[in-house]
Amino acid sequence: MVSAIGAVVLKEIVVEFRNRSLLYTLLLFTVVVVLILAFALMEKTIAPELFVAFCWIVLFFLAIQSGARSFAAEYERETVVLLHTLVSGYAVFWGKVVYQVGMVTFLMSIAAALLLLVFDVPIASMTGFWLTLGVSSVLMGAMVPIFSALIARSQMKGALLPVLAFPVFVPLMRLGIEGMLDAVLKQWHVQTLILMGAYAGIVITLAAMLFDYVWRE
Amino acid sequence: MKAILIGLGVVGGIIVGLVPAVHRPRPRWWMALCVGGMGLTIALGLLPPLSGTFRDAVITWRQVNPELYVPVAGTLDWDAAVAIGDTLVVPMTDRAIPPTTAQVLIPSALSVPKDASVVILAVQRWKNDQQFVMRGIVAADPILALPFIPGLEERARNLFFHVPLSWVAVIAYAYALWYAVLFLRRRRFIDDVHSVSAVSIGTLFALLATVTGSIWAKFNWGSFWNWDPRETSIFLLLLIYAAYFALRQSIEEPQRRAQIAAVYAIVAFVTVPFLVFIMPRLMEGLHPGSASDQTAGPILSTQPGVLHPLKQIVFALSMFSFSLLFFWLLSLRVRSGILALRHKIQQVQEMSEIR
Repeated sequence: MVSAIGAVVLKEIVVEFRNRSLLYTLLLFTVVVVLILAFALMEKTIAPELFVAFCWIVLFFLAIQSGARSFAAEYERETVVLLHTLVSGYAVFWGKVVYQVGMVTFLMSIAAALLLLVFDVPIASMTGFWLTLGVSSVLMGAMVPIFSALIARSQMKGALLPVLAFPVFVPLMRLGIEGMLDAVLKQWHVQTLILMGAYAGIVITLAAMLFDYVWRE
Repeated sequence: MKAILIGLGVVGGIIVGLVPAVHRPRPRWWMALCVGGMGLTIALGLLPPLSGTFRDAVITWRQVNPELYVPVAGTLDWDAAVAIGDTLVVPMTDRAIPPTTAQVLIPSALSVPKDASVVILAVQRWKNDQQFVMRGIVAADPILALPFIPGLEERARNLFFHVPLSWVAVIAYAYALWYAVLFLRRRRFIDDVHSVSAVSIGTLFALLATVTGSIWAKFNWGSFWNWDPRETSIFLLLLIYAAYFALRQSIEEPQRRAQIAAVYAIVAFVTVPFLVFIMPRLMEGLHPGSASDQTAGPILSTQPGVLHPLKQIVFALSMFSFSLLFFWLLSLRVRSGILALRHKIQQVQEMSEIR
C-alpha cells in the first residue's frame, strides 16, 4: 500500500515538473500578493492582526488553487483509467493528500517568509507561529482532495470548489486564525492545534472512507 | 422537570414524526395532532399577557428604558385606597417571592375592575421605588401569564419559534445524513429522494430561524446582523447546504449526482455539531449560553428558575409541534419526489419500447 501511495505521489511530482504550470502559477500568485500588499501599505511595520489575515488569505487560496484541477486533470488527460487499473482508490486518495500537503506547505512557507521579509511584524512566539502555520498548511492541504474529487466531473468546476470547501474549512480557519493570533500577540497554545487536528482528522478520515464512492464509476 | 419536559418534546416529536414511515401519507389523527400542536404553540406563545413584579419595573426604569411600561401582576387593596385630587392611590401586592407591596397611582380616567382578584397593570416607576403610576390595564384575572423579563419584554416570545426552527434544521440535516449513508450502501434512488428532501426542508427551516433571529436582533441588539458566533454558524450552515444544491445542479448523470451529493452530505454534516453546539459555546457572543454568558442559556441551564414553568411547557410543545410540521412537509416532499422518480422511470420504459 505504501509503495502504491508513493507511486501516486511520484506520478504527481513528475507530471507537475514536466510543465510546472501549477507551481509557477502558485508561486506567481504568492509573489504578486506580497508585492501588492507591500505597494498598498507602503510601511514597514504592520499590525500583527493584519499580518495573520494576509497569511490566511494566501493559505486559503493556495490550498484551493493547488487542488482545483487535481482530479479534473486526470479525467481530461484520460489517465483516470490507468489509475483505476493500477492502484486502489485508497492509494489514489492518500497519494493526492500527501502531494497536496507537500505543495501547500512548501508554497505557504515561501509566502510567510516573504511576508516576514517585507513587513516588520513583532512576533511573540516565532516557534508557535511557524508551528501553527505548518499545521494549518498540512490540514488545509489534506482536506482539499475530497472536494477536488467531488467536483471533478461536474460543470463549472473552478467556481464550485471554493463554494463547497469554504464552509467546511471555516471551523479550521477560525481555530487557526485564533491560534496564530495567540502566537503572534502573546503565547501559543497547543490546545488550539489539537482542536484543529481533531476537526480536520474527522473530515479527512470520513473523506478517506468515502473516497471510493466518488472515485469508482 | 425542565429536562424531562423538553426531552419529551424533542424525542416525542421525532418518534411521532417517524411513526407512519415518512414515505406514507400522514393519518388523520397525526395531522390533527400537528395542527393542534402548532395552534396551541402559537396561542400559548403569543396570547398570554406578560406579568412582572415591582422589582422588574424598577430594574426596567433604572437599566433598560425609563419610558417603558411594565406589566405588574398583583392584588389591589381597595379598602386602603386614598383619593388625592384626580388620582386614586391604591396599595398593591405583587406576586413576587417574597411579595412586595407598593402604592399604585390610578388616574381617574382609567378604570380597574374592582371584583378581579388579580390584575395586571401597565405601570411606570414614579417618585421612588415604592410608588408606581398606572398607564393602562393589561388583564384582569388572567388564566395564564408569561413572566416579564426586563430588557426582553414581549421579544422573549421569540424563544418558542426561533429555537425550534433551528433545532428542526439540525434534525433535518441529521436525517439527510442517515439517508445519504443508506444511499451509498443500497444504491436506491428513493434514499436519495429522502436525503435531498430533508436538506431542502431543513434549509427552509434554517432560513426561517435566521429571519426570526435577525428580526429579533434588530429590536434587541440594534442591528439585523451582528456576526455573533451563532449567527456566523447558521450563515455557514446555509452556505454548506446551498453548496449541496449547487453541486447537485452541476452534475447531469442521475446516479453520479446522487452518489456525489450523498458523499458531500456526509462530509458536510461533520461541521454541524461543531457549528451548532461547540463553536457558539466556546466563543464570546451575544446569544445566551456563549462563553461570555454566566449560565448555559435558558434551555440548558441547570439553575432553578431560569425558565418559567409555563415557558417550559410551551417550549416543549413547540419543539414537538415544529418537529411534526417538519415531518409532515418532509413526507409531502418525499412522496412527490417518489412520484417524479416513478414518472421518469415510466418515461424511460416507454421510450425503450418505442425504439
